[in-house]
Amino acid sequence: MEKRSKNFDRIAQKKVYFAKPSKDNMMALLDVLNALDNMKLYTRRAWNEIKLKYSRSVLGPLWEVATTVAFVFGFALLGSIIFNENRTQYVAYLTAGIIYWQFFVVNLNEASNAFIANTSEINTQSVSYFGIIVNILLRNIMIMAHNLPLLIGVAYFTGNFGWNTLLFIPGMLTLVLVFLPINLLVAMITARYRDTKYAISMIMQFLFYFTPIFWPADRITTYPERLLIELNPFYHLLEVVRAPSLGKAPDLENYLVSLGIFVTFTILSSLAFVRFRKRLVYWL
Amino acid sequence: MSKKTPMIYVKNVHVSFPLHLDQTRSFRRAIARVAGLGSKTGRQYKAALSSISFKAHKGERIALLGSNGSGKTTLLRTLSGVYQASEGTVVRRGSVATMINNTMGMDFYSSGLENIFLRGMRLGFTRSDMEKHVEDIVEFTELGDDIFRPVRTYSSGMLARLSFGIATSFTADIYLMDEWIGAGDSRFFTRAQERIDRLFSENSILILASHSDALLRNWCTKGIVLDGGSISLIADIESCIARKNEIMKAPRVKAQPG
Repeated sequence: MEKRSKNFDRIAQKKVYFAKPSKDNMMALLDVLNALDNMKLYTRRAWNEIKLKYSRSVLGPLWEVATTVAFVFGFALLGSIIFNENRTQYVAYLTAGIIYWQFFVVNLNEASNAFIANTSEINTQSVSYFGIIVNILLRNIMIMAHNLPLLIGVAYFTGNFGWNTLLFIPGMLTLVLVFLPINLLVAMITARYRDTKYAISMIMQFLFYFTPIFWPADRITTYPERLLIELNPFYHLLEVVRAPSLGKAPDLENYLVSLGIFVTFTILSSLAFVRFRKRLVYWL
Repeated sequence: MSKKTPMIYVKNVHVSFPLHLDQTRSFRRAIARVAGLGSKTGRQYKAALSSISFKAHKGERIALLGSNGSGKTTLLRTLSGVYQASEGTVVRRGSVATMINNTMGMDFYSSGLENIFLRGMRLGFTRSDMEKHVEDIVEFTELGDDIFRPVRTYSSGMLARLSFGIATSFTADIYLMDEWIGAGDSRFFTRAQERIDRLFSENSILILASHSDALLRNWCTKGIVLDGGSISLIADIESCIARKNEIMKAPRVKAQPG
């Protein structure tokens, strides 16, 4: 028992627990700090969960890619005819769009299940709720990254690689910042009101047709029709990563709207988290 | 080891569970309420713990006794930080090992060995942290080659051995244990007690909830009897067992709603 590692000591030092009803702010802050402090652990945990997910499957992660490819090839020929687009560029557009959209959908569905799926742990030891949210977002990003080779391959063959491709990195960071507070709020609401899960699926299905994924965004240029695109928050979130994947730079507007979403949801979820954190366990 | 001595201080703690969730956990109700059609009067709470006060000092092994639903597990969860008291103060000093749920973080399709790492991860330890303890855990579980089989093939006793082995593989100042360890056989209890004795220093605190008088007599020196969410007696273990048996004999009163 003598050979303790640094991590052991670090955990052992967090020794004092002091709980009083009036300290909700403090408890919420500690929860978040605790999660940030254990980033490495949540990354490993996410990686491990993905390995477990494929444990009895032969093709495993290839299924993720195969699903994307099936959709793209299924629709590319038809779509390029209907929309009268250059076929290779349309394939690139559709591939990128569908990969990121899939990430939005999976991420929101998983987020709504975040606390419910971890009930046994939450009921057993004091946990960092924010840590669970971090864990789930990391896992979903890793699952999306399965498609990265496909994305790179398509970008290479369509000649879309360029300096703008580098903007993918700030784009991805934007998504992380935006989805952390959104996921936290969604997870809390769903723990309390289970209908939310179904509502989210429905809304995402609806928005799939309203967001320019399989139809080109530049088809609608006149106002007020263009507002159908501009007012859709998912369009802006999609553009910050999709445009770089196609070798273009996102509009400033895309970043500004994303920032707006980040600020709004950070405020909302912080307020909710401080107020309801200690009640969460009873909702499960 | 810690510079400060471990202790638990609980003062006037109330914990209540909401009972109305299963009716109102829907949009329909929420929307109706926002629209002014419903009211907050539908909210009901059950007092799970009321006016709990006690202190635990280093070196104490405390038994939690009481009938089903008397609040033993709730108290353990409040001490571990799962539940926050709606009133009152909980102060705890020292690192904690919680053994409330023996399957937490386990993947039933993975081997026992792999699950040692999975559980470790939930406890906040990396793979390399756990590697130092694997040998010790595997030896304690006496699972032999079964450690390489998926956990879903284990009996409940085997599972208890594995869980107990993991939870007691590192030293903590405070151990919180629930009655699931009752799944083991007598050999397990003897070995478990040896292990606890080895881990347990004059600085540790053990809080054990169980229905087994024999187990409690062997492991604990002091007891807390809970009855309907409040403390009925804090005394030495023999008086506590006697009090618990008295409570058990009394006719069970049907709880009043609300």
